[in-house]
Amino acid sequence: MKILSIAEYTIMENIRSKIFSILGLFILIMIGSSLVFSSLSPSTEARVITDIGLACTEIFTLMTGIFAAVNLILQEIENRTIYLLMTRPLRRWEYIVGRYLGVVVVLCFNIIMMLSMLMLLLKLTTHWLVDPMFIWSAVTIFFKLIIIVAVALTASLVFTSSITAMAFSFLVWIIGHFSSELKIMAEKVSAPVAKIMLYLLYYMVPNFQILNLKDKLNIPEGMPLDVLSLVLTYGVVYAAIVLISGAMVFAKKEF
Amino acid sequence: MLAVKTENLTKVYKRRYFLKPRYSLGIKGLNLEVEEGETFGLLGLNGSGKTTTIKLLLGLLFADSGQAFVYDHKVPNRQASNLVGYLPEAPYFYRYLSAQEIIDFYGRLSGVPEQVRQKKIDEVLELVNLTKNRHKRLSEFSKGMLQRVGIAQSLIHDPKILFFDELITGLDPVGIAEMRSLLLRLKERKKTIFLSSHIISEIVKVCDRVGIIKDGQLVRIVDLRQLKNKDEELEKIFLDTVMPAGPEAVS
Repeated sequence: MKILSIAEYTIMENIRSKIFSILGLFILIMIGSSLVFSSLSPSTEARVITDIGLACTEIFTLMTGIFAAVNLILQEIENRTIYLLMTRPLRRWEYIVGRYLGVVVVLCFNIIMMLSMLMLLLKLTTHWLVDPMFIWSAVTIFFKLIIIVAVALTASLVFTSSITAMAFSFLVWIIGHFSSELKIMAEKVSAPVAKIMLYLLYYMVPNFQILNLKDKLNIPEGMPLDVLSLVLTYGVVYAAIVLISGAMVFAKKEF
Repeated sequence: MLAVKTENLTKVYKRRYFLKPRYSLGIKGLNLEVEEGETFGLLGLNGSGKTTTIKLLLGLLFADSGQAFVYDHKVPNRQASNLVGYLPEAPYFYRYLSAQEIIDFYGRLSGVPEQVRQKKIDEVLELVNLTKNRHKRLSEFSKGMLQRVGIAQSLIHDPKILFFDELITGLDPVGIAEMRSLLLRLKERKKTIFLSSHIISEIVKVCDRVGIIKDGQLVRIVDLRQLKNKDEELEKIFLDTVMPAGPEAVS
């Protein structure tokens, strides 16, 4: 499987490029937080450290994800290693999918490592045990990640400038957290052009509020299956559409 | 059988500069035929269209008009890619991989079955004399060694035709001699070789025929087998072709 070969070397490339050194920064922030909030009651301390830990996991994963995805193919074009790949009997979309899967695997591993460290720290400092909210927050981060990596990868092919592609991806990530506000604005605004623009933004930018599983958790029954399947379908379909667009751009690229 | 055939192949580069399109000619109306088993050299000054021609034949660029065939497959085409080995000018490899790993990687992408891949890797590493250094990372390799890795990766899937772009540029005399010896060995194996260069003294040592390209147009084909004093005669033909006013005109 050529896709798996591409994914495998993407993983190897990322491991050797020391992408995991960001874990060190994560540990430092977490230890620092536990020291700062140690004067609070154990339950409050656990809640604060969990919130900071999850926020850091999302931000760090987002940053490494966008950086890795944007540079994946642009660097390959700049270094001209792309010549030796594109002259093989390899379909261009296979290359895109392989690269994408490789980055997603690396980032998943990153998320698992960060959350494991967070759980260990919570256990040691507050004797806190993992609750379902924690797990579903982690799953939400994963779904956001598969979308934003696809967006960043496609943006790098469209803009061909790493700075522009990164800025665009961050913007998408930010707007994606304000989808319901965008819809309200679109409904209320009277100028037709602004209305169309806002609706376009609302439908085209990923809706990260849909993916927020933490808020949809129904205690004590657990996560409703229909909600989970909706989130899963939304995340996978959105990422697939963005990747297909990226592959179409890449198919016309000259080297 | 024809290994390469082009019909009126034309490529114009379009670049945008402050939203204004700018055009520059890559190649124009190229008609070329290379026989199977032949070693063909594309000779021209820098910027004459040698690399553009090779990239069009490999599907890295798309023609604006005309068509190109590799073993009767109209390019770009995946079946044609199976028959082609390529080494670009000043190739860059993933420096964190070893020679063994990089050749294995390209072998996998070329669809070489796992059962025969290791044997093929051993063969090509032996051919380019890198068996002892197979587990060293490429970051520790000299330029000449990297060029040999480049040849090895181009051969891993046993292609019928090899495209080498400026193979010896930047190499020291030992590296040049190694490359020449490798080319002659590949020639003995009846591989079709298509190489581009602007170094006449090397082209004459390995090529059967030479095409002279100037300003994107193939202006002359020379059969080296019919020349007695190849080096001098080709140099004269080349200079007469690319600089009709004579080399003195430059000074």
